[in-house]
Amino acid sequence: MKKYNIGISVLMCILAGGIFYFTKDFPKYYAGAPGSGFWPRVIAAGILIVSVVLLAETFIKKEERGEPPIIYTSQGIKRVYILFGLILLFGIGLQYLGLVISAVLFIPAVMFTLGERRVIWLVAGGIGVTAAIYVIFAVGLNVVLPKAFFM
Amino acid sequence: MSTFADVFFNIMQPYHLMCVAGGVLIGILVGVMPGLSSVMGMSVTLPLTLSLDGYGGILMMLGIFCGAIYGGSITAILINTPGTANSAATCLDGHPMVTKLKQPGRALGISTTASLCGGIFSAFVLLWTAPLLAKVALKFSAPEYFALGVFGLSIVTSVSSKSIWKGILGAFLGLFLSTIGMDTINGSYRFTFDRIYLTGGINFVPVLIGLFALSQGLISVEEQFGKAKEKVKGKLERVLPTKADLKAIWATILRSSILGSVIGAIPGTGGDIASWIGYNEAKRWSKHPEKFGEGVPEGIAAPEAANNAVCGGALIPLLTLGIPGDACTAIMLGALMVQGIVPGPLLFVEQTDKVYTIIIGLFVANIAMGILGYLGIRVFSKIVNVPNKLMVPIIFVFCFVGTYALNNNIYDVFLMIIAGFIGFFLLKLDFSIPPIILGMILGKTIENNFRRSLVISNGNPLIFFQHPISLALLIIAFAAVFYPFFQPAIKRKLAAARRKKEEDKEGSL
Repeated sequence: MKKYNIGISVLMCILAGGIFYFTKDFPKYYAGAPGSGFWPRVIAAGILIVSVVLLAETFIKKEERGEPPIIYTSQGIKRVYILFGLILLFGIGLQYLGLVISAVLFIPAVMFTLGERRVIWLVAGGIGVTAAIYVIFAVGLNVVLPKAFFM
Repeated sequence: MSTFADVFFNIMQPYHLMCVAGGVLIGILVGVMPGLSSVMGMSVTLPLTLSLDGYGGILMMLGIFCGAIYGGSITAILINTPGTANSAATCLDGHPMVTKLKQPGRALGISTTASLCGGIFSAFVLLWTAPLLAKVALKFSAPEYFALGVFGLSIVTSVSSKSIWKGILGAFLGLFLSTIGMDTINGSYRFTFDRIYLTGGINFVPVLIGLFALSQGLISVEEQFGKAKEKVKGKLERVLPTKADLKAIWATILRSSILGSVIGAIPGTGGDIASWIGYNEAKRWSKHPEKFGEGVPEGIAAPEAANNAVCGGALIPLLTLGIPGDACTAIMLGALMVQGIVPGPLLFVEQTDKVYTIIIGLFVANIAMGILGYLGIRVFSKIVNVPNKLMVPIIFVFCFVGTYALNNNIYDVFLMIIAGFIGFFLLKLDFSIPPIILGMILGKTIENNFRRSLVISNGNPLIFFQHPISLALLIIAFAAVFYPFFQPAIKRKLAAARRKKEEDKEGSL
């Protein structure tokens, strides 16, 4: 966890620096009260202080032996990487292909990634769940669902 | 009184009753599935509740809130795996009643009865105490509201289970996210980078769904990789408790209900703490504490009554002060705000009907939970057998549909995806998610009232210490933030004092 904590602290310090930088031109006062940059700067100072404390704690505290928080080569996390990709594709698909087509493809793809190999289940899962969601949201609750660009 | 009656009859409309029952059903299903938390269920279904007319959305959220806490006990009893953290203590006697005494139906019946009683009791507590507290809170002005926001945020250290510093960092991140968009005091834009989407600020619902539901789904995929899922086997006999059982557990239920309601009203606590305290107290007061752990009815009733009593207790600070006590109530606060209901003392004056809807809705939700619990327990016990291969894609699609349904905006969906991916890594790195959401929700209240207070005092920051309530709240907030840091030292000192006392006693003998 040590190297991750150092990474988090550095990232947070950069964020705090960014907040200070982007608020430098904001007015200092407005109608007798602090201007719009004051509060973000207070938050940035807080982030900076806590990051430094976390960094100091990381160096002072003895690290307990155990599994690292993220094992990049484990089978479990590899599945998560694949799911990241599928989720991103599903998001893009929603924009262009709409919910129905995207979900019919996305659901079996996720099921396959999670180990389902029976074709009948993959097809039934994709069509069944999509149909159920369409009926519940679009028909039952009148929710507007993303539509395909050609519809 | 007429408002109360009007609201009561309105809730009794079939449509509203269906919304409550639907919410309870969703809640129980979410609670039953190990790995799906009540927070996840509430965040995924939040946008769905917005599409319901009238009070339907609020009532459904209340149903999910109650149902999810109860649902967790079913798997805790049947397969020794608590569906939610709230039911961990129920495993201790619930599962032995199934395995050693071979009475799964009896165990589930006791748990349903205790949950029902605990929930109803806490609804009464809410009905009596909330208006009284709201009367006091009506005297609040900007400094008090600022202090209240800080006090609400101070619970981050108690909800940050693994790393307190990361919890505080998360709260700061949430506060920063709340500053994005137009500054409501002077109308200038902050951190929008000329993006129209950001001018209105970051909508916390997509972030909430991403952080609580999508990231949790991904975590469960990773953690449950290669692990066989335990299945519920066998049939359940009678699920209604016997007279003898009721006689044995009524005092335990009453004690745990009081404990749960009080604990729920304290920000930063929750159902998990209440259930363990309830269990410990039941054991301490019992005439046969040695039997605990072998399947005694009190051991099931105590945690279940306590964790369901938390529902009503947690709504007290939420409704009267606008302070969410835990992640579930933070989502509830978000849901209410999206519905145009701003919890706080003014709610009791300006929107009395909404207050009564929530209070009466809690009664109805608990009754619906009891009825559905007794009738559907055989079905619910089988839900756990639904494979993750099917459950996970359903959750993912719900996250997308729910987020899109909010504003029909595809950018919300991408925001949710980003929040989900970041949330996954934050959880892996021991960050706690509730502080981020609390920061986002309370950020605007804190900033606006901070600046308003300074306008009132001509820039004098002492205004926060000159108002007694504000001062008291700030002191409590300060103590709440720093108590966990000093807790080990205090415990060590107390233990040393106790040891010394015992040694002195032995020496004098």
